[in-house]
Amino acid sequence: MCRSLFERLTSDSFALSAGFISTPEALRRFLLRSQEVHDIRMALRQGAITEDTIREFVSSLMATFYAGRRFEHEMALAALAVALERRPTDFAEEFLHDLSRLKPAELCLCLRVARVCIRERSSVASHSDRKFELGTADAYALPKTQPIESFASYSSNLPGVV
Amino acid sequence: MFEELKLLGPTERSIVVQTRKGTSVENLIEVDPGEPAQRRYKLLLERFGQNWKERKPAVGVYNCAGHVWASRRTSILADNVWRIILKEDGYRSLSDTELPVAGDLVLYVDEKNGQYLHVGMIMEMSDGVSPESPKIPKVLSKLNSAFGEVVHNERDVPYGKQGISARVEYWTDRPKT
Repeated sequence: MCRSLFERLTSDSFALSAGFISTPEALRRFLLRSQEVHDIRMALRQGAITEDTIREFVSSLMATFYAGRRFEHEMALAALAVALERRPTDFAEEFLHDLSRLKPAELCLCLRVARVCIRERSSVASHSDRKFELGTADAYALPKTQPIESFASYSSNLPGVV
Repeated sequence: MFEELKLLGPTERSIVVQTRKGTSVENLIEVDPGEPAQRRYKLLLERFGQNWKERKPAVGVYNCAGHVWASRRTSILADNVWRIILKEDGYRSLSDTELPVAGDLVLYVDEKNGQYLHVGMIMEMSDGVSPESPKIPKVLSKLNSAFGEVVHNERDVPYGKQGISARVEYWTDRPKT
């Protein structure tokens, strides 16, 4: 399954599906609605692919990188960034941050998509703060305790101690 | 991850681009498309461009926004920067009763979220299917940062086939009459 999924990400059809989309924001939105991103998320959730297989896949993509030439698999990296955007794991964090901090012109669009993903990820995280209505302090106060003045006074108040 | 690219360091190059008001425009000079992008561009023309007329083969350097706002010198990628340029360069949106003319801009907008997808320049208003039918805007578009320039009918874009519901906005720098 993971092989066919990864093959789809590197296919000409997938790369062409976003022709005419010129901004990273719009590309992220488009990818968010794509079947490929949906399938990666599902496969990760169901264990059909693991984060390690994604790491290996990315390594294999990077082997085709040539300096001074547009990176052929930008769409695959952008799709992975969108698929990992809401995944609360160290790997997703590492992938998004490492990609977004790069500055090679050869893959300028996918790293900008990763930056948008990080922005969205942060905004989702900030929205997931929860508020609790605690009511008044008295309602939730712990039982009142008496300070122990000395062991003698403490033990003299214990039941059964005469 | 991406250890090789970290070693490569930054290779992005930009130039000074400003709006009329003097706001700096974030930009990036794109690299050469290379053989894979050229192959894909040909595929795109085969699949969607039966009625397009190619003006220029696949090149890097600029994208659609760099074509219309930066004289083909660089790419302007960010959606919010497009909005700043429209505002600060004195563009106005055409009303429903105004027809676009050559030199006006057509912006394709994702209907679901209002984000800009693409911008092209209107070249002419060509005749419709009959003398009574409305004129059809012909648009010159740089398809993306790694593809070429084509002239196409305003509605002859593949968004529908890509599952995107897009609408068009016309913008002009002509004064309102």
